[in-house]
Amino acid sequence: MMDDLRIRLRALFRRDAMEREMEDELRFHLDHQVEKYVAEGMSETEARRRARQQFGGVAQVKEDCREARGVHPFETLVQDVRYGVRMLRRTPGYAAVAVLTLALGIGANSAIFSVVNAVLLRPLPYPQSHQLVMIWGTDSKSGRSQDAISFPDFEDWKAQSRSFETVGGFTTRGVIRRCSEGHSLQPSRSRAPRIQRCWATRFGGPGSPAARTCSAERSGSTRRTTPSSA
Amino acid sequence: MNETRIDLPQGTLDLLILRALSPAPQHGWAISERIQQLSRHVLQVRQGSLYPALHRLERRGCIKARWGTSDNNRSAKYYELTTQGRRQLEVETNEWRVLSAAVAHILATD
Repeated sequence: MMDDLRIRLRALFRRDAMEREMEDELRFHLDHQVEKYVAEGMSETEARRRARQQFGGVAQVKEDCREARGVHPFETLVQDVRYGVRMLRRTPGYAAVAVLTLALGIGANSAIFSVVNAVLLRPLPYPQSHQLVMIWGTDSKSGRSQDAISFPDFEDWKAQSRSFETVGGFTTRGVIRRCSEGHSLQPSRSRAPRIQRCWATRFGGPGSPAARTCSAERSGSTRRTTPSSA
Repeated sequence: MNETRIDLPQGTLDLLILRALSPAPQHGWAISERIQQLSRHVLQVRQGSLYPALHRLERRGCIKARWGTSDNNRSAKYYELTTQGRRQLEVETNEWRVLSAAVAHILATD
């Protein structure tokens, strides 16, 4: 395994040395063969001719050796790339179309991925966001689900539900009603400053990821409950 | 010169190369000579098969190569068996014995 890697790497990076060695090795063989024929009584010229003939195509032998060394995948790749570049240069129009297609493809893909990543893959920017769930009510008469509920209902859910650590919500104006720290949100004029304070301490205030999520939520006019570990 | 030349299948050539190297390290030419002699000139290893096979065996770690000086004072590439190569030789020799005995047996039946 290590031998394999070492030899392959050597074949790739020390190609000249390898080629020289191969050349030397094959020439040594040929010369040896000639000497043998001469020793058997052949003339030098005849011996050389015969040895060469027997040896076959030196280029072919070398090629087979390179293949046996496993140089080929790399060399073929390099050749293919070179060929590709040459062909693209020769037909700039085609090259432009190809590049444009790739650019659009990659662009569209990364755009879609950023959206999917932000919306689906990345956890929401809240503590223990995996515990975050959305609660909605069901109209017992029509059987339709209601994702907007009245404030008293909200208060009841908060007070009576035992399945959630805490319950919070949004108004359609995009304000977080954060309730875990005893900020009882009375439907009064005093609401706004309290919410502001709560928002600032818990979620970092305007400009924070929470705030951005808020305004995104607003357009869909949904409420989000935020169980929290506070 | 015996003209009855049998082209060796790749696996068989590998086995014979390993066998030819088992007494001592050799260079390529000597390996082909040795195989030729030991086979009583029935088998001739063509260079076109020998060298690729040597390089392949080296890559697999069965043999390793180093440059040395030959009898006639020239630098030559010597191959020698590695431990793995010896093991391989043993395994393949056994396999060959079993195979050839089985084939001989089949061919001998009427």
